[in-house]
Amino acid sequence: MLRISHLSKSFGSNQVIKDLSIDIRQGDVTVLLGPSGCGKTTLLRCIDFLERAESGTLSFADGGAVEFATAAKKEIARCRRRFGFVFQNHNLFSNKTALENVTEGLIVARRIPKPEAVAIGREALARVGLANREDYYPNQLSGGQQQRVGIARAIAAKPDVILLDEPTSALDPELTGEVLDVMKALAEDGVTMLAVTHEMTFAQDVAKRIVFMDGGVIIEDSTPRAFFAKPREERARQFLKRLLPNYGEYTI
Amino acid sequence: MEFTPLYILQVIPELLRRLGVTLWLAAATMLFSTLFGALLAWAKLGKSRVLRALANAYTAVLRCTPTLILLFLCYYGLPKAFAPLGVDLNRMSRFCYSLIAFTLLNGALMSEVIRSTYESIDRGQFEAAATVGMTPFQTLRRIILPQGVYIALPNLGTTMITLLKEASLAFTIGLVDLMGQAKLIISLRYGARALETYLALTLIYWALTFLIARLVSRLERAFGAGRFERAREAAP
Repeated sequence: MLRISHLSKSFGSNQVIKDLSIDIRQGDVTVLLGPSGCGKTTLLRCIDFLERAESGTLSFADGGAVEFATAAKKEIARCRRRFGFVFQNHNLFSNKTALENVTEGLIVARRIPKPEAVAIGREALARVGLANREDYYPNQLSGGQQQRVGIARAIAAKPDVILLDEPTSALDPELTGEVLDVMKALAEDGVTMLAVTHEMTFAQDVAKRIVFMDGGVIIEDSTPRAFFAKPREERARQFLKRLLPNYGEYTI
Repeated sequence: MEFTPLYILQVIPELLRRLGVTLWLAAATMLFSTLFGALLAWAKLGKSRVLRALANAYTAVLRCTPTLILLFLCYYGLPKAFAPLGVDLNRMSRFCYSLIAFTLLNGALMSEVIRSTYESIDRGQFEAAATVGMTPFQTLRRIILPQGVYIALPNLGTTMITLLKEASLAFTIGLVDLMGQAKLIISLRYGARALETYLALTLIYWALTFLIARLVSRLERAFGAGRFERAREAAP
């Protein structure tokens, strides 16, 4: 449904993403793994034009393609409609309630009439289990609830793909569960997701596909089963060894 | 002459005849210096090195200039500066000179208030707004400004109060505001009851300052959505 081809991005002289290409299929739950600094987050941000890539093309299965480097404002706006973005530290609008956080973009950017937007917003909040928190401001919510509002905001407009940038990394360990549960429920509903996460359990149990990156390129692209059982690449093995203390102990 | 407390009350209505001048001057200065300060802040936050350097230099110089001296510089300097251009400023009102001088100074101060406020708002909210399709202008108006006004309000209040008080210096170039009126009244009585008159003037300034402080705290509540609401009890 979506193809990114030959994407490159540098910060100064540091090339973070090198000629990377990836296809996202409808209903895929793809988890991006890799050591820190490997370009996972930058990749997500480039896809949603939060960073300007130097080269590369974004093309959609239903026609239409844009160049990352030269896309005009209108094209960027059109592309962004296809994505929802969940930030590591949620970035909720602190002067808006939970419901307003979800409806703001619908009303202001998409010009959906307010009653309709409110209905959509309530439905999105219900999906993340926060139907009873709609008029709470972000500072009245726990970290996990804030991030769930962030997810509700991202899914409200029913985008093609949800991009999640380490959605649980900034949370206390006991709060990650509720966010992961929401992500799992979305995955079961067939929502297409591209997620950067260090939650290995989520990667193992929920992901349909694991993409392992290092040094700005994709090194392995396989199923969780294959990846966690026996990664082909040494770098991936090293990575798993660091993250999963028991990794390798039970294999012969 | 004996100190007559009653005279303090008697002179207040006479002083208040010029209250309008003081308030207008303060309000107009606040308006123009906010606009000017926004322009300077835009230059300071912008990408152009030249504009940034100019705005920073302007702020530094103006902040180092005593208000009274700046007032004199404008009053005596502007007509000379504009004369070669064929503009005759000699008949410009003293109110205008005061307004220009205070705007030049306050613009520099306001630019710092605006810049620091803008920088205090988390960049992430800009990005989040972009991802839901909002334009930078929509983001500024609906997300950033309401939060910014709230953050800036204590600083704004201080600036307003300082301005209101410093504007009393305008009597030195002959503007008859509250202070000018007090000077007039005193000289009409050949210097008699100066203490009572200044005490009355002090009371008026206190009252004005108190009102501004009240207004600011009212505004803080109005713009503080999402900040004053305290954590609610956790519902099951």
